[in-house]
Parts: sequence; C-alpha cells; structure tokens
Amino acid sequence: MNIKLICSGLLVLLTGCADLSMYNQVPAPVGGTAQSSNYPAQREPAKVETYALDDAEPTGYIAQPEAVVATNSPAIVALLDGAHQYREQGQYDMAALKLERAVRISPRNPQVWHELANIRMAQQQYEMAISLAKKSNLLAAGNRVLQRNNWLLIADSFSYLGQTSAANKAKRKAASLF
Amino acid sequence: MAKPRNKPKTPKKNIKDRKAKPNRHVFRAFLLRLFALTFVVIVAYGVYLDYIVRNQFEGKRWELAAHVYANPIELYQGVPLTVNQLETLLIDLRYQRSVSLTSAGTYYRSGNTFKIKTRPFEFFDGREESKSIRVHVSNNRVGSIQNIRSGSSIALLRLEPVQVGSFYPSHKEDRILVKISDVPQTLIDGLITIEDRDFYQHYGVSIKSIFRALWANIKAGGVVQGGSTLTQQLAKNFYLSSERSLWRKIKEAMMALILEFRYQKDEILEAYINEVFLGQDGARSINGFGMASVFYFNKPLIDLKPHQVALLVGLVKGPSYYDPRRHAKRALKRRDLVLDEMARMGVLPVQQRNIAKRYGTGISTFKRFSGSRFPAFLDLVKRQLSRDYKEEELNSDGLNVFSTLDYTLQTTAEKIFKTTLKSLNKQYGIEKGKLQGAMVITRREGGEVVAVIGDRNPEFDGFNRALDAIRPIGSLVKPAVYLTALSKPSQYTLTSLIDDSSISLKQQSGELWEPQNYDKQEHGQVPLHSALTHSYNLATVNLGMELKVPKVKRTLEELGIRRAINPYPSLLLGAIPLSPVEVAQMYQTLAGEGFFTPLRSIQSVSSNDNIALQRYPLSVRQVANPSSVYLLNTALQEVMSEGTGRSAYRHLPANYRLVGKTGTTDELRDSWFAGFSGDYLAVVWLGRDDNKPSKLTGASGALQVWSKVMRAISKQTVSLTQPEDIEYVWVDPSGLRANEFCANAVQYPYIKGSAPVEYSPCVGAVGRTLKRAGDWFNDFINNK
Repeated sequence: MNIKLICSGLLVLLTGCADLSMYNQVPAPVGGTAQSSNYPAQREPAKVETYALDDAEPTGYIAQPEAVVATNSPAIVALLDGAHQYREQGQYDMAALKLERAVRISPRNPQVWHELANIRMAQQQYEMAISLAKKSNLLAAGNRVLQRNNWLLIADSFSYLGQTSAANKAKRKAASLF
Repeated sequence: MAKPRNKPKTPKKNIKDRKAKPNRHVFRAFLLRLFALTFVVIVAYGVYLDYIVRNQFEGKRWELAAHVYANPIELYQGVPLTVNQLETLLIDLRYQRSVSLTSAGTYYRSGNTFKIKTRPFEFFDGREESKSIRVHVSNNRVGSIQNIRSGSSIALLRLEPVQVGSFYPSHKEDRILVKISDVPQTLIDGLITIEDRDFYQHYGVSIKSIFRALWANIKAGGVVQGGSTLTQQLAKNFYLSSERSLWRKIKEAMMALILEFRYQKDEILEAYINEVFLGQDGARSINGFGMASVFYFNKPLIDLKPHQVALLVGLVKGPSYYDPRRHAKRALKRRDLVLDEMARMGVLPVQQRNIAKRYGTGISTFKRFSGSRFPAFLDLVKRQLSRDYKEEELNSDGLNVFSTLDYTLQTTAEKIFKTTLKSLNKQYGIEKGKLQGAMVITRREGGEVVAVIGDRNPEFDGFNRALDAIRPIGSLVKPAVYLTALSKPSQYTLTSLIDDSSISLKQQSGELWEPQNYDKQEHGQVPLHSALTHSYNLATVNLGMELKVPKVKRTLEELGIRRAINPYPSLLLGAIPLSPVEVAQMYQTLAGEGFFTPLRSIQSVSSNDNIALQRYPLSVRQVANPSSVYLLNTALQEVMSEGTGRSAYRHLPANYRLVGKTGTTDELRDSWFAGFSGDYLAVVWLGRDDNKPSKLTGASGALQVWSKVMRAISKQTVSLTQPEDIEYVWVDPSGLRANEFCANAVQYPYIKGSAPVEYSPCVGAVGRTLKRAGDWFNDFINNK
C-alpha cells in the first residue's frame, strides 16, 4: 500500500516534469526564412494602433516547423502549393478551390483551414476569415506555431473590422502561446 | 317620244363591243387590285416569317439542357478504393477496355494494376488534359500513380466527373452542339448525297431536285433521294410543327428562301446538323449529330468512321424505323445504301466503301443515363440553384453544374437502403410496400451533401421525402436540450444529477401533459449523461423546464434550424416537425464541433462554353462553444457504446467510435437516427406516408439502415478534438471526485473549473494531499 502511494506520488511529480519539458521546445526560426511575405496582413498598411503589452509584441507569422509540413501527403502538398501560387497571382477563388479539394481529401488538416482563412482575409471577408481561423485552431491541438498564426490572423481581421478590443484579446492569446 | 339628237348613231354591230369594254376594264382593275392585295399580303407575311427566322437563328438558337456532374473522383496515394470500385467507376464513365490505350477513354487492367488513358475535361477551374497513367491498387487503397510516358509519379489526379443528371427544356430535346469545323467531311458528303444533291447550288427550294428525286426513287424502288432541300428540312424542324399540309409546305418553302437569302450555306448546314431529330431515348429526344454520335457510338462526332457516319446519315429519313438497336438489319441495309450512293457519286472512294460495308452496326451497348437517375439529389440541386437562376435559365442555357454527389457512395447507399427497407417491412409484418424512408449523407467536415435518397425505391422520381417529409423528430431534439444545459458549466456538467421523475404540465388548452418514459418507469436522480444515453423523457422535460423552453428553442436556431419553432414544453420531446435534410443541418453543427456549415449540393456552375459563372464556397461560423459541444458529443458517443444506439455495433467493429442519437415518436410513427463517424454524417427517417404506426423504433428501424450504410462507406472512426479548457476528471458513480484507484470510478470530461470539488469517500486522505501537491506544482510551473 505504501509503495503504491510513493509510486503515485512520483507519478504526480513526473507529470509535473512533463509539463516543464514542453517549454524546452525550440521555437521555429523567426524572420530569417522570410515566410512573412506569405501573409498579406504584413503587406497591407496596418490600421492597428500600438498597444502596451508586458511581453514582446508578436511581430509576425512564424513558419511551420519542418516536421509538421512533412506530415502532409504529396496530394495535400501539391494542392497547398497550387493554392499558394494562385494566391500570389491574386486569383483567390482559384486558390480557394484548390484548398477546398484539400479539405475533401484531408478534412481535419488544420493547415488547410488556416490557408482558407488567409484567402478570405485577402478577399477582405474578415468575419469569414476569423471563423476559418478558429476552426483551424480547434483542429490544431498541440501545434502552437499554427495556433499562434491563427490568433494573429484573427487579430488582424478584427482590426480591419474595427473591433480593437477583440483584436487585442486575440493578440494576447497569440503572445501567450510562446 | 323623239330620240335625243345628241345620241350618236352607232352601227348595230358595235353595241356588243361597247358593252364588253367597260367590263374588261372593271375586271382588269379588279384583278390588278387583287394581285396588289395578294402581293402586299405575301410581302407582309414574308416580313413576318423573316422576323421569325432571324429571331430563332440569331438569338439563342437552341435550348440546351443543363448537365449535372458528380464530384470528380480524386486519385492520390492512400485514397481508399478497391480494384472493383475503380473498374466499375471507369465503366460508368464509359471507358472501354483497350490493351494499347488507343484513344482517350480507355483502360486496361491486369491484376491490381490499371493502365488508363483519361479523357480531357473542362473543370470549373480549367481544362485537365488527357493523360496516360498507371495506377496500382494495394490493400484496397491506391498505392501509386505514374505517368506512363515520363515515368514520373503523380501526386493527385482528377478523373472526369460522372454526369448524373440533366435539366431538360420543356421539349425534352438533348443536344451536343458542334461547329461546322468539327464535323467530319464524310458526314457533309453523305448528307449532300442522300438528302440534297444540289445544296450548294439552289436558293432554298429546288424544283429540279424534286423531279430528279422522284425519278431516282422510282428507278431504285425505294427512297434513295429526298426532294426537300436541307434548307427546307431545317425550316420544317426548326420552326414548324409536324403537321403535313399544302399550306405548311408553302410556309416551309418561303422560310427556306428567306434562310438562303439571309445566311451562308455553311451556317445553314451547321444549323441542320445540330437540329435534325435522330432518335428517342425514353422521354428525351436525341437531336443533332453531335448527340447522336455519343448516343449510338459513345464517341465524339469528329472520331466517327465512314461506316458509322453513313449509319447516322441513313437515320435522317426515319430514326425509329431505322433504329440500329431495335432494327439492326434494316439499319445495316440503309447504311449500305448510303455507302453505295456515296461511292457512286464519287465522294467516298470505292475501297473505303468496301471496307465500311464489312462492319456491323458498331453500336455501343452502354446503358444510357436518363435525366433522373438520382432524382432526390437532383431535386436538391435544382432547389439550391433556383435561388440564383431562373427556371428558363436552368432548363435552357446548357449550364454545367458541378455537384457534390459522391457517385459510388450514392449507389452503394441506395442498394443497402432498398434491401434493408424491404427486409424490415417483412420482418416487422408491416403492410406490404407501406414502409417508406429517406436518407441524407453529408461529409462530416465542410457540409457537402454526398447522397440523398427520397424513396424506398431510390430511382423513383416522386415525392422526395428527404426534402419534403416533414415529421416530428422525437428524441432527436434532446441533444439541443442537453447542449443548452452543458453551455452553463457552472450549473450543469455531464455528471450533474437530474430528476427523472414524473411531471405534469398544464397546457394552454387546459389539458394536462403528462409525459412518460419509454419503459414507463421513473429512474429518480440520474447523471445527465445517463439521461441522454438512455433517452429518458422525464429527465429531459424536467431539465428543459429548468432551462426554460425558449432557451432550448434558441439553441435549435443556433444549430441551424430555420423553420419556425413553437416554444411549448412538448418541444422538449421533439414535437417539432422537420425534414431529414433539416435534421442533417442541425447535426452538422454537432459534427462540426460547434461550427455551423450550410449544407451544399453544388460546388460551382459554368456556362455551356465553359466560362466560370459561380462558385458556392465553403463557409463556417462558430455558433456554439466547442467545449460544450465536446461534452455533448462525448455523451452522444456513449449513446452508441452503451445507450439506445448500441445495436449499431452489430454491423460495425466494437472499437469504431461513433456519435449519434436515436429518435422515436408517439406510437412508433417515425423512426429516426442521426449520427456521424469520422468522415460522414447521415440522417435516416423511416415511417409510413399515411402516418400510421410503423412498428419501428429509431433503434430497430432507422439505426439498422444507418449502421449498414456506414459500414459500407465509412473509413474513419470519430475523433473529437479536446478543446484546451477541457480536463478529464475521475468521478465515482454518484458524481463525486475520485481517482483511478476508486472502484467503479470513470473519467469524464469537464470544462475547467466545473469539475466536482467534493471528494468521494473512496479517496483517502493521502490521495487528496498528493493531488493537492501535484496541482500546486503544476500551477507553479505554468506561472513561469
């Protein structure tokens, strides 16, 4: 009986340690890989006012770690690439079409939903973009990089909608993830 | 009296002349006026006919049917597809076996490997060219796809979609338009030879032709030549009814003259080629050589060989009489006659004529797709389209409608639905043929409708129960009640105790409403999840009255119900009539974990010449807290594993996670089931059209259909994303906090902060302390 208690005590301690280890993850590189140009919010003139935050202001979207990208099947990669190309050319409907094909193939892939949110934002359909980003977040359990990117997208969209308090809330959520 | 002196004296013989002269004048004048009047009438009539000719010819010439396509099959590594499914699909796409892949639309299978030469297709987002590919299937999935020529691997390939229906113009003519430049020369030569030898020389009507044809036909003892010119035939078919009269002939001649005056020979020929009636297929008529080529030979017109062209030319004189499918000998004889004439006229080399005559009719045996192969689904498409397109546009603009239908899934579901209903009808001793039903299947994510069944005989185009059978949903409403409760985590959790005891409510009419449980028992204080799992009526009503019925109504509206809802207590037990598709919309939000997605049956629409017109994009909107929905879905999963839905596992593996709810109404009039797996959501309704008791509960009826279909189509078990503010906590049977060492303790999800705080007696003091220490440590770490 005592051994059981000691073991369960150790177990409790160990779970505590497990939590600790999550924060040892090296965050993905920022800026250098120049992924920020992918995200239209960075190109549009920011209508956002500055705000005071204790932590460092989240500067930009972070690229997905290689490991996450690699788990996408070749079909999804092909569709995401195609959508990306269309988006660069401003052909948003065509890009969305590719992404919707991706949803049919891999319905719960959070990255696909995130890209759909990006398209909607590029098309200035901000409320839709927010919903899609939230959906992506729901499916992105454990993927902090993607969740952060989603919250940044949501924050930007709220800003465009003029809902500054909601935007700030979203920014704080993004910041809290790192 | 004396005669007047002024009267001139005329010789007697002139009197007759003088009397005749005025009559001649009058007569001539009368004739002149008659001619003038006739001339004016003819000219006026001519102007009128001219107007008609021009209007039809230059305006929208033909009303073209809209064609509806299923969702195209995507081939990629890992897609679940058996060898037989792939082969059936290719056959349904009218692909032909060919070892050497001679043309687009051929395939060859050896074992598990397919060689396919795909047909090009104009998708909404552009043309996909023909490709020669090798597809390998292993373990019921596509293993690899390679380009045969280059050997490179292909990541993703869209096959052309199956055409699943059409919306025909009222006259039910089906056409594929061809341009004169796409018409084989043999066809033009053949038509000129047989129908109108002087086509390029005459002015619309040819007297010479009439006599020559008469003479030739007498000599040949059969109808070798026609006396009407092609232009006259065009006028007849295009503008006039089929009544035969002299007056009609005159009209026809006048219009032919006008056509020739107004338009070039090539334009007239092209119109003729697209107009002429060449066969009947049930309710639809086959018009134009473009359509006839596909209908008889399963090939585009430009690909036809001389013997095939000759057969079609022969049909002009009598499509039914010379029908190659029903009168093959006659058709062959006629074809040979055409070939001989063509050789005699010198437009077909004798050698070719000889080769051609050696062929049989060469008619394709492919089963035709009539307009309403999937009437219930097409009905949904039409209704959704008619929000954006007028009826005339839908029926006559030749639109290409790209739908969300999954062809394989629909046909599979139909088979199972049909046989299961038959056997249930028998098994439960229901009056023969009286058990009816409907089914709607959608993708769990994205809300695309992949299958719709509206009748026990799915192919029957009648009352579409999937869309129009509005029936009370019974216990299917309960998830809305429980979601309303679970959205208030401070008051209700999955383990909160609620009262399953009798309740009596006074209605507006003064009558008392005293609901009962299915087993007529009261179960006392029961955990919330249990009440839902076992579908207790009393507990639900008690809970609903606590929450207030208007709140439940609000939840239903948020979930996606658009129909007006009466906020009476009976709502809590499902006295709300809905159609199966509306129920699907409601449960779609649960499958979407709180995100509402409007159900769609169409992806996009393009015009007849492949210009992108409209897209129906994927959209979502968060309408419920994902955490509350997670709790609800967890309970609904329990419905399947332990509750009223557990008989689903007669047909599915025990570890195949499902989420669903049974629904039964008063006196078993309606049998409902709504639920989802990882990939599909499906709603089934069974009942009788005359609303008499169907003898089936939701579990014994609808669920059986549902689980059999799911077994056949679903490839993914349910996964529910656990939101971040959900924690799993051990509780004992009475709902007090426990740990994994307690007997009969189970883990349940709770929204953080709502889990029971009070400890169960089964947890000792040390256990509580350790737990507190662990919590403190966690908090310490998390505060950084």
